[in-house]
Amino acid sequence: MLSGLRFTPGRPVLGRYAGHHTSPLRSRSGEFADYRRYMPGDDAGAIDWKIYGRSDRLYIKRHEHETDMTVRVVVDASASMAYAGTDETPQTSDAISKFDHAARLAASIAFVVANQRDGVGVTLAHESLHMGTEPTTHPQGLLAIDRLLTDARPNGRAELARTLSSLAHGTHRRGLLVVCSDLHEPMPPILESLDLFLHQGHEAIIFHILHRDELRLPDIGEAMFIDSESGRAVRADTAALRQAYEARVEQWIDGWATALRSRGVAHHMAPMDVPCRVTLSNYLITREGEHR
Amino acid sequence: MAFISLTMPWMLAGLSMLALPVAAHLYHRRSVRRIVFPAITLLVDASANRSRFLRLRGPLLLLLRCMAVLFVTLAFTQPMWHVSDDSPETSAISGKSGNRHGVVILLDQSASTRTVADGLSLYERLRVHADRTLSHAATDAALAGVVYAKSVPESQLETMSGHIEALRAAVKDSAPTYEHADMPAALSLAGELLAEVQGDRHLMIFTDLHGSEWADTTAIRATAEQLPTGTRIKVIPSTRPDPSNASVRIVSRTPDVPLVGVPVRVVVGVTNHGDSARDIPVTLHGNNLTLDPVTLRVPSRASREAIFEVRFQMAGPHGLYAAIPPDALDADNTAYASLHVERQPSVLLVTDDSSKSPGSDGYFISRALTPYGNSTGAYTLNILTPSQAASDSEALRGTRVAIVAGAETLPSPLQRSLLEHIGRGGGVIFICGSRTPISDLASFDALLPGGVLPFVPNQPLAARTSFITEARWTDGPLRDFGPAAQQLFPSIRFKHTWAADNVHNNAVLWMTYDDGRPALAAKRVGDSVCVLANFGLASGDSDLASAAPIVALIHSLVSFASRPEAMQEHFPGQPLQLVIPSMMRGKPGALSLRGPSGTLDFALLQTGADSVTLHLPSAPQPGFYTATIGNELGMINAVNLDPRESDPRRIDPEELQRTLTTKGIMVNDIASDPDDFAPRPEGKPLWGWAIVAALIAFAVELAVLAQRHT
Repeated sequence: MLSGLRFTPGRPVLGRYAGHHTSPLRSRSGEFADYRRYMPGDDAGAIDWKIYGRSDRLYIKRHEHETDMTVRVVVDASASMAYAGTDETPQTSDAISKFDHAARLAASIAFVVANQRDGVGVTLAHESLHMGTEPTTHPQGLLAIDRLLTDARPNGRAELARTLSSLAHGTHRRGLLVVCSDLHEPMPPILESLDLFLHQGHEAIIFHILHRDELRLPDIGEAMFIDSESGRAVRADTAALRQAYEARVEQWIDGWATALRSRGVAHHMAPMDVPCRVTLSNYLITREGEHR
Repeated sequence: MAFISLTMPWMLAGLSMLALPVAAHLYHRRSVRRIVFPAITLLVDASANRSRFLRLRGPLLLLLRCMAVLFVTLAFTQPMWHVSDDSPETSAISGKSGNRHGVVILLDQSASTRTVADGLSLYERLRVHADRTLSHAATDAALAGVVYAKSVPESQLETMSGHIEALRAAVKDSAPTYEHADMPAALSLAGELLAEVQGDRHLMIFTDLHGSEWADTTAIRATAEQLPTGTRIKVIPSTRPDPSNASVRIVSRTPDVPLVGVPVRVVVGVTNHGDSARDIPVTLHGNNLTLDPVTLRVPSRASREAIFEVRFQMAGPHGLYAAIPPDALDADNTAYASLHVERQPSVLLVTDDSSKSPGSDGYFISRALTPYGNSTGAYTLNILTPSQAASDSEALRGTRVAIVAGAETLPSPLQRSLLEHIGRGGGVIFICGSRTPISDLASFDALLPGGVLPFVPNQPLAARTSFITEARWTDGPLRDFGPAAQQLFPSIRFKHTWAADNVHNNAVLWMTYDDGRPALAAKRVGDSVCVLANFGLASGDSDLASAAPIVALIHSLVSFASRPEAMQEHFPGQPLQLVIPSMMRGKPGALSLRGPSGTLDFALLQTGADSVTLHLPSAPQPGFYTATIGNELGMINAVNLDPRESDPRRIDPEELQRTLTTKGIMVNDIASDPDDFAPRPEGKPLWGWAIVAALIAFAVELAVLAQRHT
């Protein structure tokens, strides 16, 4: 079901190998792209002498460089991602946590990317210690990704910003960054870390994963709500608070969307009641239409 | 100065209920579900945006619930708002009450409160509750007074007093009487005490609601209206159903003057006041006499009579008493009667007739009373002319009955002697035939205010023959005449009669002529009876001698006129006089008076040459009261329970409440619970407001619970 999907980069990527994606580098191999005037220091071998003979001006040729794409998927493995609902909230037959949903989404992305012979790696954002796989086009990479996601147990804090920053420093080739998170962390550090990627020419996509209960408080009356990461507790009556909470959630999501999109980062909601395949499919179709 | 008092402060214990909402609040806080939730920050932000009201909702609900409990508890304590006037003339203990409130206890001491139910008399119960009221008054520093309701009500102290403990001791030592209570007088006395109180006035009536005491609603209402304005009355009844009470009384005895050896017929009546028929044995006892009991089957609320026959072998005063088995009210289970048995009662005939002259009044009277002479007849007869009787001041001494018949005159000295004779209880019979001193009779009648005679004859009616068409055959002097005699009398011609004024109101008319004139009448004058026959016995005056049982008529009239004073009913609480007859004159020894409980103090009301009258201001209880000189019995008088005390019917409490409630007088209530005795002090009740406040708190709580949104 994922086979027909393609993850195309929104901007030129810098791969290691020849691939199907446009490279930002222009060289003498490949298809002719265009001319530009010779600047001192340019490669003399790129000078087009025919034009010089006709015009007495020095121009060099630029060629299209097609390469492979590297996709780095970061999955939030913090405690907040472990939320699978309360006892009273209606459960689906397989009550899954946000992390499960994120993992499935990440796995789906990895499959699609690997299927198009691009490199994919998955990193778990889990406090300062992140575990992950190096991006690879090797089929064994998918197995490693699967093992990584299966064995992961979300807990503690994500330190998503720190993870992204660490990744950004370790990445030298432009590629695609996909983040699957509930974004329950302060915004500015995450945006700063994303900026690192963006400055390097990466493309970033944020799949924002929220449980249904986070979108609409469950009908459980008065309860003591305890933060899954900090342990902070607040007593609230869901019925009394629902309207204000939903407004606040909407405002918060809009805030993320605005902040991300203003940086050219795609922000996409990944509702848990929609299968990951469908979420990914819808996104990729939309994405391809935007890039044409 | 304004202040709040709590009528039932012990209800403050209900404040412990405050623990309930607090405990529920704490439990609710603890028992709230704990949920691990990822979006705490958003939750906190949303909470921060709620109104302060909703954030304080929990504590606000706790506060409202606590307030509701507080106000409900306060309502149960029955708070009162007082605004007192601290006047400088506040009271000393002696009686000026200032603004202290006062309570008068009116304690019913009538004989009916002696009724025993569940082992305790009604009076005991009333006394206990009265004591509690007094103790409450002591707590309140109120003034108090106690009025005992009996035949002559009296108060424990002359004024209201703050010496509550002394009043309590007096009430504790008090006892019910055998008397019928005069409730209007008792209320009036209570009103006099309450008039001393300047503050709130409370009248607490402790009574068994006996119907006979409270029946005169007109008098009671009139008395209640005289109570000080603003008096609050509370009636605390002590009633118990009394299904088993029966009473006994000696109805009559004949002859009125029992003679030695002559059978005396004693009629004893038994009344069943209970709810079901009973077999009640009744016995008759006397001096050395105990007759076999007679068992009467008496239906509910009905009476039956038993007849006993006794003979007395000795002359002099005797006592008889009838008894039934004891029941809830013992005081009416014995009835007493005293009688004076005589050998030969003495009769004086004042006449100008010769007893030997046939056909004259004197002739017929002497033949009837002493047919065989004084030694063998039922009476001793002395015959004097009016002038002889007038000149002999001792002529009427020792005489049971004086008969004036066929007399031409009634001299003034004789009139005075007759009046003295009447004063001593002796009977007088005037036979007014053709020889009747009419003007002397009129002057004799005028000797006493209100008259002596049952009617005054004035004009002769010699030319008219009269017939007796009406007579009372059922009682009085004619009760022993059978049907034959009754049929005979209307045919007797009375050839000489007198026109007469109307019969006096307090006289009894026994016979009447066809034209409505009185023929035979009697009038009670003190302890005496005066009989006047408007006809003569002489042959020229009527056909009585030839056509009617004239002997029986004469004997009946003499017997009726000689009724002893002892047959007059005496009740406890009333004055009692014992007249010791002249035959006791000269007896050695001290004069003493004994009652059922022992020797009594008495007063000598008058001392005459031939009689001594002992006066007892109040006979305390039913029984025999005997006057003795030395060891000689001089006189016996019997005192019986007022029969009204035997009827157990009670007045309807609501009717009593209506009777007592007049303008300015308020009846708090007839206490359904006798323990609810405390007078409530004046003030504005606040418990209604406390309930309203509790309801408001409850309503606000409901509104807060319904408020879910900012």
